[in-house]
Amino acid sequence: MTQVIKLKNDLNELKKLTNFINEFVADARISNSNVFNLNLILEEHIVNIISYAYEDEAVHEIEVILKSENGIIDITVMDDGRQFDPTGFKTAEVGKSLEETEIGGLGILFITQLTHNINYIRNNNKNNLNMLYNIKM
Amino acid sequence: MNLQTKTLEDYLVIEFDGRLDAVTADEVEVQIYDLINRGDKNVVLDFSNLTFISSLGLRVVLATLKKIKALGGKLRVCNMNDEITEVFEISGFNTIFSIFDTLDQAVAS
Repeated sequence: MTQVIKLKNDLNELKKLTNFINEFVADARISNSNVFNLNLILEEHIVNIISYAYEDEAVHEIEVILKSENGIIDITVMDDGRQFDPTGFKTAEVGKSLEETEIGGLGILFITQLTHNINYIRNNNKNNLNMLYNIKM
Repeated sequence: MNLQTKTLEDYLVIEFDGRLDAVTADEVEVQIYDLINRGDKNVVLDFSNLTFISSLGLRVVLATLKKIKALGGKLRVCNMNDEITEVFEISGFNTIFSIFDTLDQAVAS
């Protein structure tokens, strides 16, 4: 089963994303225990896009495709922001003291920890990030 | 998100409800700072009804801890669900926060 949503580059669009994930999980008959992780993976990536990908003030479109098959959710996010490959990004260092702990890189750390495969390509001036998530029963 | 509060033992208990994410983080941070600025320096964050937290939500929780420490107070967290527990583990936040299973345990020590 495949479902698609197109979001604008506005943080308020994340409410639509949450509803989209809830509907996808219900329609695909996937356990609710996956809702949290899907929200986390997608919010972290899309917040990064909205916050850092665009150098103008224009409205841009971010496309999210969720596909469920054989115990895996295939997640694709496409945006027309500047080139950014999160697979080559340094994730946050954990286990530091309170004084040294910072938030930068935590989002990508969550994405890499909660998915089992991430693939990035730049195609037609768009970033295309594909992530595979193992469905929890 | 509207935070609810109550006082228990020597602690101001702040109860979360719903999502602490990119949409709500800023407003929650303002509410927490308003509460702390009233003078309570020992605080429990009760996550009983917190359903979701992302890195921007963690930023608020981390800033709260730093502020309370600077005031010489104590910050405790309790009643985290399994998913939020995993988020704290992945981020390493479980090693810098005092985390308790229940509110009673959080205010007892």
